[in-house]
Amino acid sequence: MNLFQILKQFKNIEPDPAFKETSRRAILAYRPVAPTTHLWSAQRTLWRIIETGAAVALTGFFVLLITGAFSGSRFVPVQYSAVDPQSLHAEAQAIDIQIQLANVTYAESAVESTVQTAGGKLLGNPKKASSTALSAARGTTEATSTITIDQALQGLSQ
Amino acid sequence: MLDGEQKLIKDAVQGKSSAFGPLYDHYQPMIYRFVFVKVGRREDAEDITHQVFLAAWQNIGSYKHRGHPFSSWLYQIARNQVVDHYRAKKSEVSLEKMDPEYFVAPATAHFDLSTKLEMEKVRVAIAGLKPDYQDVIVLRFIEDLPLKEAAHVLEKSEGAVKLMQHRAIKELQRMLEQQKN
Repeated sequence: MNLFQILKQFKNIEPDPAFKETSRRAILAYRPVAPTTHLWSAQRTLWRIIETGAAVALTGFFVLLITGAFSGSRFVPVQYSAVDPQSLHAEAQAIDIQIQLANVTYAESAVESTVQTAGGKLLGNPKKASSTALSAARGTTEATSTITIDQALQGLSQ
Repeated sequence: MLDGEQKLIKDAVQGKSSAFGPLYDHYQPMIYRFVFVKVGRREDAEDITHQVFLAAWQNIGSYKHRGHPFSSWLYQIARNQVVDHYRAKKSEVSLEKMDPEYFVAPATAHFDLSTKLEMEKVRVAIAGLKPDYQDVIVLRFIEDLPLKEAAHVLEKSEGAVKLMQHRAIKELQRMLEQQKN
């Protein structure tokens, strides 16, 4: 007998009839899980959608509540209660003023140093020195203080 | 395929045990053979076969017909059950130490002695093959399953199954030659 013929003989193997009967009875005595129906599936799907939607809505509500931005109007930009916009604005303006004042101070000191330098160099000719110093000082003043302190303050206050 | 199988399956899916009974009667012997050739021991084959049909009946509600025979689904459950069986019983007594009479299934009693001996040699050789080779030999050469169905059970392409069955037979022949020497 060749290998394939022997393999075909295996098809004649049968389980023990006593085992078959016992096993059959035991299996069929068991109640399977109730089958799923389309209606039940649809209800379940709908319920899941509602659950998910409610979860998302609640999460969004709490996020808005925590950030303090809950508002009836959709067109009002989001504002955070922890930050006062007026104080922020005033603070920003104060910084600008300090910068401008620093520039003005720098311009004044530049005028003084220019006068002193010019005066020092032309000590031998007092007339020329004084006129040169005055013109230099004038030019520097004109160049450095194109915006006066009053103008700067006025501009900032606007 | 069983007569009126689709109707029986549909009723069984609805939980009717009267419909699952005929399916059990029809498919139980082939599942038993599949398991028996793989595990070798009659008691183990009976236990696993019982577990296969119990699992099938417990999960029949989730069965969906996708163009493949009902037997494919049962074979897949059987394969998983055999894997679980070996996983649970790794420290088994070696086959050589077992009494050969222990392996003989009651239904093989009607074979003559020489046929029985030949079958036992082949069965021992099959048991020594890789699980995939065992499966393909049982499905294609013992149960005569079409290539397409065997491919579905083994979760491989038809080409892969062809190649695998060729290699499995070669390997089986080589092992039988070794037994002779």
